[in-house]
Amino acid sequence: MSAVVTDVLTVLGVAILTIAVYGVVRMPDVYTQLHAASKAGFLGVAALLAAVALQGDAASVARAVLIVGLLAFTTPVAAHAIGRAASRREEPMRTPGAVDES
Amino acid sequence: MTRLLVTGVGLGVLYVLTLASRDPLDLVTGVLLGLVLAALLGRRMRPAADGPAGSPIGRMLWFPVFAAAVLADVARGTWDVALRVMHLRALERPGLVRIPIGHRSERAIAVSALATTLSPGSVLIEIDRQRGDLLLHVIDASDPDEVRDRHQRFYDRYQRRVFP
Amino acid sequence: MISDLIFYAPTVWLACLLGIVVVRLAASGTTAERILAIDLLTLILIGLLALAARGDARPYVLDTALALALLSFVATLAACRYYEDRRPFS
Repeated sequence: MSAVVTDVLTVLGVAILTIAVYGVVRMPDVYTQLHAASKAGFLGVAALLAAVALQGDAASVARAVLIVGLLAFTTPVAAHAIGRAASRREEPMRTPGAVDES
Repeated sequence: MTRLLVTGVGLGVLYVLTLASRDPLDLVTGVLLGLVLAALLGRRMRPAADGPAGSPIGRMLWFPVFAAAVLADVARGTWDVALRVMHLRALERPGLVRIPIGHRSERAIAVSALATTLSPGSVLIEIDRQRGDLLLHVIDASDPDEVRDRHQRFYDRYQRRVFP
Repeated sequence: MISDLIFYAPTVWLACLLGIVVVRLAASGTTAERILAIDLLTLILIGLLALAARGDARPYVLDTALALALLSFVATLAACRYYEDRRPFS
């Protein structure tokens, strides 16, 4: 039973990471890439680590929980830092029809 | 004083989790290290000013609701962004939208920023204190007023009772 | 046999993703896009390390993942600060 759940979580994590990479390749500018890459990437890694925590011993669980908890706080901050740097350096939004209220 | 203790013990628990050990001696070492660090650095790292909160018990009771709402938002945002990346939903008008800060306290601004940036589909770009708003990049900005309404509703329904 | 496949297929797949991101990083893009690509690179590496820890039941591999997660965060922040106003700390 738990083996099935871990396999499903692994496949889910790999799928989300694939979407994140494809998003970075496909999206036209940094701002839209941010949506695909850092946040979706975080969820993919979280699914993979959940698979580890389900199968592993107490040491694995403690570390997996720690990594997911830290990533939950660091990925938004990193995404914000990248977005702010891009906007302060006035990198353009290349998506056609982009809305700009800044 | 309470904050020093809480920070020190929290850092100690972090130390034990990192080592993944059950030795009580490690816990003592961790808490001692944490207390020293908190005493040395605590003055520089002041937490953001809190808002006029209600009773602490009410806040604690509402916190799980708020956390669940954020998680639901993350799940919905991931689904939406995944569909847009896979060409199943049009990527038409992403863009920068201004969200008014309103009566949020300093800490509530931080919580709002973290919650919106954690859910895919919106990233905080800048905090504009002169105009009193947050500049967000959202993946679907075809109707900026709708985005503003959605954030205001989320704040009113879930966040205001926990982080006003 | 089947369980081997289930273990190795995601590892190989993630390694391919790493290659794609490296090519994307080297080929083109603005500075912010490159910083983002490096960030994504470390996220995929953490995923690979998680797979390795699970496959061989070696929990200490996760220590590497933890250190990598923390280091990549600091590195991203420093790179962004530097890109923003040409110095890492204001």
